[in-house]
Amino acid sequence: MEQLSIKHVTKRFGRRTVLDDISFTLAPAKIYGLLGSNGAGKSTLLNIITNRIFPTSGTVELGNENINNNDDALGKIFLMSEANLYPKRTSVRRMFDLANGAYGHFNYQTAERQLKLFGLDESAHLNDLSTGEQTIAKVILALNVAVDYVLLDEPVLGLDASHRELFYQELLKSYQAQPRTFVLSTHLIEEVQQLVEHVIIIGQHKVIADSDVQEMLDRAHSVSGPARLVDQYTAGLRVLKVEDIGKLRTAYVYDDLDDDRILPDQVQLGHYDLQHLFIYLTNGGENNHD
Amino acid sequence: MISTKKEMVTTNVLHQLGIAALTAAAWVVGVELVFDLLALIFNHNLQSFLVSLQGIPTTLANILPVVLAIYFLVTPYSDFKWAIQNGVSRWTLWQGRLLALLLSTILIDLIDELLALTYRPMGSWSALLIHLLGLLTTVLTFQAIGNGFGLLSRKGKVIVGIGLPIVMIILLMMLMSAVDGVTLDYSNGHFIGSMGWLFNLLDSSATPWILWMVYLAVVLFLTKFFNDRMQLRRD
Amino acid sequence: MQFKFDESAPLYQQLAAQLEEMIFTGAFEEDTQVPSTTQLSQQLHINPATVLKGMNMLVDAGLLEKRRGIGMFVRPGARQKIMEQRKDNFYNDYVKKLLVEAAKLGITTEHLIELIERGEHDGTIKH
Repeated sequence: MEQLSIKHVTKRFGRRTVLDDISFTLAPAKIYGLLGSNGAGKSTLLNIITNRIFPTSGTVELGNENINNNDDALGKIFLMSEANLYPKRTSVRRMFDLANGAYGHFNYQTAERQLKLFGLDESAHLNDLSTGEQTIAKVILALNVAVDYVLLDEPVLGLDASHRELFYQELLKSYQAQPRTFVLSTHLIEEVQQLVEHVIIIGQHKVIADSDVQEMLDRAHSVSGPARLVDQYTAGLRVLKVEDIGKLRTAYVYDDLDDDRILPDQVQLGHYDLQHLFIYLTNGGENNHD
Repeated sequence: MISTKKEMVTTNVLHQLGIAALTAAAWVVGVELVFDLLALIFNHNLQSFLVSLQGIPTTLANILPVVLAIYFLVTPYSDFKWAIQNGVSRWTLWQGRLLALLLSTILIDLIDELLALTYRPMGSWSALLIHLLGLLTTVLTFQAIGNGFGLLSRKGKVIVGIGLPIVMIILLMMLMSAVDGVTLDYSNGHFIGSMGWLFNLLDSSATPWILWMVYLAVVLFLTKFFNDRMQLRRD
Repeated sequence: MQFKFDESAPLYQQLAAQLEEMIFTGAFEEDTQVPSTTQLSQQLHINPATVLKGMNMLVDAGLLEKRRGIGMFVRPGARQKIMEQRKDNFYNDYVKKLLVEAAKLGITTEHLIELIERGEHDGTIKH
């Protein structure tokens, strides 16, 4: 399997810049999280990766080949999007057959089991289904298409808690049966934090983080104690946010804590989760505390 | 894999076109039958009813090419959508649709000729060929326009849909008045000079064919040009 | 099987620690199979790579062993090993701290022994 590289992709709609010089690489057989607030340009980016829309500049390459107008490359990438691109009277079964025709080796057996699991009928027409049911149909389709890269844009849209649970389970089953790359584009960070190995965060139209989840969390430290001591301790570190409750200050650091930093007795170190890291990274921007 | 995708596009287009043609034929023939039956009930004239029935093949022969042209006018964007969802490239989509267009045009032309046999003798081979080429050119033209419209948003379609015909009419009128002027100069003799080859060309019997070839090339180029620029829209 | 995760340490370490605790308490007996990476991953919704990392920590520590084609098993003597490890830690984690705190409070060694004996006979402390 080859890498999928997004190289300096910029997209403007008229004067509005939606994506600004986006570059990152997706490796084979890994589960990625593509995170960004609403309107950050995640869907636009996924549409560019699958050649549905053209970037203003930049390229998308699978291995060393540009995916633009490239049947071989496009045949290895599948995007499940919020938008429904099928003609009006398309049944679930017909979606499967189209995918089987274009990508080959559609896994009908698993798809049928999953339809039963989620209580969906394969003869149902996509347009007659509720938002949640449409999501289920499209997710089942995506999980069983024979491709190296499965891109899922808001894969749990309209699903209730138990169906979300089922989806995550089926996703992992599918991944383990046939390791390939999944990209989960979502704003439900808490739910996917343990699921994804690597995250790419888009904010202010740029890539603001592209890192292994554990490595990111290892650098996410909360430092709390008397304001003066906290400030002293965090001097020179990248502090994303500072919270004061009375005289107690908590600084949210996103940096490596070098060992020679002396931790005063009154100052406590802790960790915070990906959800908060995401919020602080995208909203707070960056302010160096000194 | 590539040829499979192309076949898939072609089969899909033919399948949908088949449904559209059958639906349209059923409606038109049905409506005509109802009117004829109503006339029979009121007039009690069986003779006239039987004559009317003989008109049905003509209606069919007229409606099928219209369905064909309209189909290729309105479907480019919806075909693009399901094709790109399934990883079919624009190039393959274009080839697949073109193949479907050729096959369906030949088929419908054949059906047309067969239907026409019910009310007139078979034409000469050259007449048959010209009929086929005429249909092909018309459908290709609609395909090119359809692909062009596929690039436009709903608002853009309205603007171009109204604006373009008006511009065309104005251009046509300007052209006609210009041609009037040229004819005058042609009688003059002196003025032609280096433009002589053009007038020799216009006199030649091969001219319509050459013009037709040029037109076909331009239309074919336009279908490809618009097709390659199609993108997912937000509306 | 009940797992609980927080932000205190990397996920794979928490997973390893909790599996270790289950081996220690006998929830997973020696010479028996433990859930596979696949099962744990699907049940806990954790990336398989993370689960594998946690399991490998226990393999490296000599608590689990891979049996070809069957799965992951608790190694014979694993419980004993955890016990010894924890005894080592006991001195560092509890005894040293106890002495430091006692010194701060001015508690003598005799008094400390007295307190431990009192604790032995205190009905409220459960083993």
